[in-house]
Amino acid sequence: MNVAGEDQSSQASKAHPDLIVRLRGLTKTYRQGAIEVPAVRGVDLDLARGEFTVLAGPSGSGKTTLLNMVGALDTPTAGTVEVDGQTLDQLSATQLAQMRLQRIGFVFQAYNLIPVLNAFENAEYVMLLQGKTAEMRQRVVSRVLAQVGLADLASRRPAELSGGQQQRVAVARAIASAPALVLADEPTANLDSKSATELIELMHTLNRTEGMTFLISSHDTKIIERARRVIWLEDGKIVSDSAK
Amino acid sequence: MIWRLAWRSVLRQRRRTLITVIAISLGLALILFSVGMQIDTHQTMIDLGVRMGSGHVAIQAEGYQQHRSLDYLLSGSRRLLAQLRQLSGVRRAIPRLEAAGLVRAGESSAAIAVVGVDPSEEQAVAGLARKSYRRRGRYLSADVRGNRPADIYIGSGLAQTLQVGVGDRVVLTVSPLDDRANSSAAFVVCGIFRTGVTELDSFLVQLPLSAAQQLLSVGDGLTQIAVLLEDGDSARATAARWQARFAAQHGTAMRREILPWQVTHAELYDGLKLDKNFNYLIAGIIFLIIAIGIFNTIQMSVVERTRQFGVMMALGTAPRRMFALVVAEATLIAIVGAIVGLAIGLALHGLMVRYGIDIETMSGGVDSYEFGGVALTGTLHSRLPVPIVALWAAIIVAITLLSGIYPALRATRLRPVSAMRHS
Repeated sequence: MNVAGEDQSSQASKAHPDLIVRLRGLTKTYRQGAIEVPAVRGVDLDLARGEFTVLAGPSGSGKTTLLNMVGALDTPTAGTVEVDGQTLDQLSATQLAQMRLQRIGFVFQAYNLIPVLNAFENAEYVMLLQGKTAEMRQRVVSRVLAQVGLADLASRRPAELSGGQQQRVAVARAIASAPALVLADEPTANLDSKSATELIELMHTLNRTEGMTFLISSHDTKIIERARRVIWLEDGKIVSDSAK
Repeated sequence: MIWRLAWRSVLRQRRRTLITVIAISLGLALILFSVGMQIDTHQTMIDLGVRMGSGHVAIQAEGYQQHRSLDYLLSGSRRLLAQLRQLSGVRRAIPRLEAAGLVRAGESSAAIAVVGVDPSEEQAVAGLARKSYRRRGRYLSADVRGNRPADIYIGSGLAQTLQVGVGDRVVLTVSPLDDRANSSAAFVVCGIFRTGVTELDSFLVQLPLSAAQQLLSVGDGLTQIAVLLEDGDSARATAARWQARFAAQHGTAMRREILPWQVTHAELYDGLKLDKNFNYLIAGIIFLIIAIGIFNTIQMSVVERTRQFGVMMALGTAPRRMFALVVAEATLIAIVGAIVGLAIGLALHGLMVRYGIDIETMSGGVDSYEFGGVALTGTLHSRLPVPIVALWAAIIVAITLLSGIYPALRATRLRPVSAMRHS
């Protein structure tokens, strides 16, 4: 990938080879008319490769905002974000898109599958954008769909799948391109208890067996219990950071 | 991937896509129908105009176009006729001798335009001599024998004014070239025509050329040679080429004006140009309405999928791909619309070629339609050259694509986070 600040980032990466995410003084303030609403306030955070970390906290604590900035979906008001050695400051929209495409997988609360594509095509989408060959896409997507337990439902469109199944397709889409980091924003919020448990186990297994790094925002106790590291946010600040 | 997504997105909103496709296809079909009819009508009018009038190219003595007088006779006309008939690209070279005169029958009289013509040439070019214009009698005979009066071919309006019919005698009086007192001669009405053009039906008579030359005392003089070309579209270029060649051969010693039909039939030419421009205006309005419809469809489609586009951008879809996706959707709609429109338009064209539209039916009982000094009769058909069809299809596809550009740009400017919050 050729994005601005590559040299500087490479140096950062060399300086912190085990870190997948490095946040320094990360701040996000929203403006509502004349009023400034701080969502994230000067967060410093390091995330090592292979971690299974949960960002926990009450609604409005800044979890999603923090996750969006780590995922290059939103820009900070102040501070720096480094992902996989790449500083995100001053990257153009196209460069940020390239960054997300090559290094980050996303799982959203509302599944967010592309409605006109079937399960296989949704899982294949990111690989297609990456320019992977048809043979490779076929092999990898078949494998990940089997991993998430949807091998038999590959030809179904999102409208023909349950919520839990759709979220599994979203996970398959996130992991098919083997990203350095998977970000999941409240992935179980719309699922029933059984589907939520299955999804948590799936992500945990992928972390354990594939070494995939997960950063999950959630206040679901089932996920928090399975996390190896839990970071508590309140009012946009880290109030505790505990590893098991 | 882009095309697959585009195709499925287009199919997902079937009703909306169908309405857009119908708008595009009906618009294109309507334009093709209108253009096809217009081209055929214009070509027919030009064809009639040049056959009855001055040909695709008129060769006259310099000044004749302005003064219309026997003082401007074409010199060396016999040799010139022979030369013209040898030239490639020349279908017919028709001699004409025109003058003003007065015709009397009994107590009635009328001012008229006299045209001396070669009857066999006129019948060959099917101008005023065509059978469809003849109401009674026959066309001119070239034979002028002894003291027997020569034929005269007159219009229905004039026949009514003079209250004469076929076989009746009329006396024609003209001012001859040799400044004698007026010259008169008797003629027999051989036939009566009706073109639907008042100026022709009430004020024009045709005589055999030899009789006209004798009456006007011009020897073998002509006022004009009307040339019909194989390729009527080359009239301007041919006239300019001949004019330059003639000037190079004769310098200023012998002056002639060699004029295309656009000059000699300026009224017809200007009328057709106005009609064509008016048709373009109508086409422009139709296309503008279509463009607004397409723009609205694509814009709505983008707005409705803001969330989906936000997700696609979040997953790493570059802005240029978002742009390409929306343009691809517009392209698919445009292509399908153009194909359907071509099918409908060409089917209508086929029907018009085969059956046409009867002028009498269209005009509510009037059997001819006069425009720019030419009267159309019978049935109007359609004529659609392939480049014209391709041009209009390309225009409608281009308009559809242009209509999709703003919504496509809008899609590229979405911010993933806010787009994904869109409901």
